[in-house]
Amino acid sequence: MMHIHRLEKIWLTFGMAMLAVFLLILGLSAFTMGMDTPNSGHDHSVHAAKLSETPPFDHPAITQIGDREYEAVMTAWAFGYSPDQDQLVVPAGSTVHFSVTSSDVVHGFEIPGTNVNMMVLPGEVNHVSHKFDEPGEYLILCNEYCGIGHQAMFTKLIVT
Amino acid sequence: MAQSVKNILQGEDRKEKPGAVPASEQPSSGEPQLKGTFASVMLLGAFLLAAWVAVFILYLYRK
Ligand SMILES: [Cu+2]
Repeated sequence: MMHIHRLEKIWLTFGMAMLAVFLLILGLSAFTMGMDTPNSGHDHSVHAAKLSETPPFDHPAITQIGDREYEAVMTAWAFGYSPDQDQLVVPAGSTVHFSVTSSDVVHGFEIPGTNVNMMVLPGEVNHVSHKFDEPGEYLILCNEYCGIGHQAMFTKLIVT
Repeated sequence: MAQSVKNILQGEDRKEKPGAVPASEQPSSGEPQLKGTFASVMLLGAFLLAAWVAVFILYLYRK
């Protein structure tokens, strides 16, 4: 019979309880608060080389779908995003649902200062939603090294 | 201390006390002293817990 020191039992219990609590909180918030992964609930794939003939990605655009609610269908490519930044304009208080895919390699999609941060994969459509309360210019940038023009790959969302 | 290390390096003591452990680390009761280990493990645990909670709160705040 293996003997475990009393203090060792305490810290092992504490460590395992911590792990259980962390996982439980993340699991519960995924179900109750929608804090899920960029691909969950919308599992569908596209042919990356045929985006120009695959709706809705043949015409990337931001459209109003409700009261202060917008859907942004976007593509990421080396080295930029569509639609163009002067089209990405929403009023303050709007929730934007982004659906993004890549026409070439793996890119990133991050809006600094928000929780918007996901990978953009060729062949997969990833989703993220965010409510923009404060007016201003929101930088959208690529944070996955994608090639020689990676550092110039960004666009902007204007919240008026 | 320096003397005992020197002895070990020179291979002395070995025949007389195989596997000898300094008395300060091995009390006669057979139970190792883990108070210091316990304190440092719990300090590390507290740091991990605080860091995790702080990041989670930041995530909720930006939601
Ligand atoms: Cu990129």
